[in-house]
Amino acid sequence: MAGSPQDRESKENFIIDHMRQSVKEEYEKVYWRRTQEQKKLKKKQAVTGILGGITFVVVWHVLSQTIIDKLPSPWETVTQSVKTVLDPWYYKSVYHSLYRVIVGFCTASALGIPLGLMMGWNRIVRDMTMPGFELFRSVPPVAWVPLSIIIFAHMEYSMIFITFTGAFFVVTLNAKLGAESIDQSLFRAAWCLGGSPRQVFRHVLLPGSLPSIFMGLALGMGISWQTVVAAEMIAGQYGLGYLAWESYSLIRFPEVILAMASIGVLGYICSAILRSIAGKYLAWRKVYTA
Amino acid sequence: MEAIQMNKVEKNTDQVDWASRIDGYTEHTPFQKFWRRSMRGIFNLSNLRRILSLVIIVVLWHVVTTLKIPPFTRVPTPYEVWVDALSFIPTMHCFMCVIFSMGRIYLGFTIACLIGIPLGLMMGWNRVVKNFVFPTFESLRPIPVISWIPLSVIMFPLTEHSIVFLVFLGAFYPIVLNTLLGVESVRADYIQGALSLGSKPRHIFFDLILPGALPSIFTGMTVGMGLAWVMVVAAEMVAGGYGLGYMTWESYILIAYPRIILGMFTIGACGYFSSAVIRHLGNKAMPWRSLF
Amino acid sequence: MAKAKEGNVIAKHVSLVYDPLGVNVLAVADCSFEIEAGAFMAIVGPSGCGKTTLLNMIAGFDTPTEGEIWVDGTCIASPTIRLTPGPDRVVVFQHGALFPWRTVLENVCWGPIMQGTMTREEAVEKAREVLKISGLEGCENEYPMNISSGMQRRVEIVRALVNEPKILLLDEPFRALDAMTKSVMHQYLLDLFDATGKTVMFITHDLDEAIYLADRVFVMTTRPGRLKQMIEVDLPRPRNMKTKVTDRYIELRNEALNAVHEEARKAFERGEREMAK
Repeated sequence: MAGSPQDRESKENFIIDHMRQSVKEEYEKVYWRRTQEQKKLKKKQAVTGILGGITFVVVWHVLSQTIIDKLPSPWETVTQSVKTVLDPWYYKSVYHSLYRVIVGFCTASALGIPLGLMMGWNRIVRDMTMPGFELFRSVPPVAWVPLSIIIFAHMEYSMIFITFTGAFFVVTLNAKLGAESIDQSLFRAAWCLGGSPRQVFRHVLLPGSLPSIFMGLALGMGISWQTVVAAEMIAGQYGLGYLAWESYSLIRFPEVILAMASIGVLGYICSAILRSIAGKYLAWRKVYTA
Repeated sequence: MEAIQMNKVEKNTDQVDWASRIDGYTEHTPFQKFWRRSMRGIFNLSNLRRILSLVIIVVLWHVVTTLKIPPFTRVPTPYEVWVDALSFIPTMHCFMCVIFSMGRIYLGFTIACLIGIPLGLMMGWNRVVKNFVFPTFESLRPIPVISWIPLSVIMFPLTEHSIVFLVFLGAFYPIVLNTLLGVESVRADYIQGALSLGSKPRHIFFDLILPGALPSIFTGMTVGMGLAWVMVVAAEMVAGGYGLGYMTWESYILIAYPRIILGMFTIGACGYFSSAVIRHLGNKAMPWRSLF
Repeated sequence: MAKAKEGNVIAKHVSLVYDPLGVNVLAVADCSFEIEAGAFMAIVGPSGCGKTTLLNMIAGFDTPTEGEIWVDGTCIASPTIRLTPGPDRVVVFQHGALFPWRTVLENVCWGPIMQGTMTREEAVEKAREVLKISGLEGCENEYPMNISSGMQRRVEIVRALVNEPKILLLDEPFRALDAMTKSVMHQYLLDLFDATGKTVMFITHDLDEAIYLADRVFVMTTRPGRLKQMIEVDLPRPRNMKTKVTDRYIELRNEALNAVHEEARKAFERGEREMAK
């Protein structure tokens, strides 16, 4: 079709093949100059970015040496961190946090996505569940910590529960929003073409709400990490949040920063995995314009 | 097949008495319209179901807690919470908790707006500023703000300062990002139009970019307010001090379980109220967006 | 076309009162008409006059408050009947309703596969064939977002026809197209009509389009929407671009113009906002 990348390329090649030699040379010269300019611009951009990073580190260093004397300097942080990262004990924390986030998040998605879709699909379900959601939605997930501790005897369960609540509301509400945002005429078209309710659910409602579902999952993943860190700090044993807080209590300040950075990296990796899965399922949303 | 009279021609088309010709159609007077509309708006099946669902939640909660079904053995009953609410809400202690948390929120949030909105605008306006700041900003963003708690306690001598700093940080990221998004979403034709009308850059900035980015800025502020509440609760629970989060956690330690649930709902109500204030401000600041 | 033509639609005194908040709004009032099997019927009227509501009732999306609609001797819509939208009356929608997450080919085979009338292989084969006839070869594996809007409309019409409907209901399908594409699409639709002989109900607010395409044009009034005038279009088929400059065409157009203009002015003066639907 007109517009696909291969097609555009072949069209361009065709034009180039049929140019006169002199024009062709001129064309290539201009093309080369343009790519060179783009490269230069990218380089400049990268240099500015790196400069920004360096400024950040310098400011950090100066601050740690002058006003905030308890803040570890960048160099101190790096050397200490290397030592800690080589210690197997550190990986126990990583494992615990990761485990809690994954279990809580997966449970939240497994329950939240079907529930949200049903809420968008059926008015009775929506009316029966929405007030409860409205009631609990404005309670920050962190405020659930004490309640979940008194509900669950085992600390591990209560932490997983908090992670679950963090992700659950966002995932469900986004799935519902996605189901509601589908153009009504798509449903009507599906009925016209003889789709049964089950088929319409599977072939129209589900794919139509996928973009919104993935947005909810990405948000839920972020909130899961937030809440797991809070829960570990407040109530936890093991885990990166606990590591950060414990290092603070034991006055091992560089490790506080290491724990923060590890949480950031892990959260980023989890989101990246989600994004790549989303990209696979949402290929139809990519529009290439000629 | 019965013959159908085609092409029926009515001369005075506007004066047909439809109400007598069509069953199920009645012309309503304006008063009837108002009355029926408001009645239908309040007493309908949907609202009935909504109320029913809330009743079900409370009844379930009551049954589960009074029968002490395994995981809920220590959870207070709705009645206990109600009694506790009546005795606790009028006290000075409750009032001070709300004031403390709110004060931290508004201080931190205002600072976040004052720094975040100009930064976002500058990043959207000037490419060099964006290139300089954005990579560092993006690489710090995946770190959940909650994990800054110990570091901020280290950095600031007073707990109060560190809590305000955390609130600031929580609101800062969404505000900056949404401001930047808003600036970038201003359509290029507006700017071209302004240029062709002979505007100077500062006019474009204040008359085009700023109002164009406002909807997005207010979205950022709403999101930021939500995160600010998360932060204030977490920081108060971890680092102590005073306030709603601390009160909730203290109740757990003092085994005053009804107050935990009370604390949760108070936090929720305060959070809801703060977002409502921002929404209201947003509607006031952007009259052109109100649809009728 | 050996078999007897199907798709005779009769509407008897159909009205629809629509009451969103307990307040009656008369959308369609007392419409009676017949579309003979294999005829091309167009409805013209100002926006918000109930054209789409009328079509929705025939398609089975809305229940009439009064009156009945019969298709080939069976009642398909009346105040007491359960609505059954189905593949015998397929709608092509105003803003397009191709499933954006399915490729063109998958969109076209969706109906037969879901109804279970064909196996997947048969459906794919048939879809390819029909797409080829319609000049849509080569874009089977594109997603709808990546083809031009004219092509999208064409795919949608093909998707409807694959189901062998009795009636094709077109709800302002060419509204968003530019004038050039529109004329191409008109020709395509005319060719298709001549080839298949399906009953077509076509809704539009463009009088020229209606006269050019249809055998019979109904003009609707502003709300409450009623049939104001019927114009028999006796232009010979097959029609083409030259038809638009014949004397008869201009005569017919003049005849209808006054009626339509009056209604349009009324709607404009009432300041009715175009309904979102």
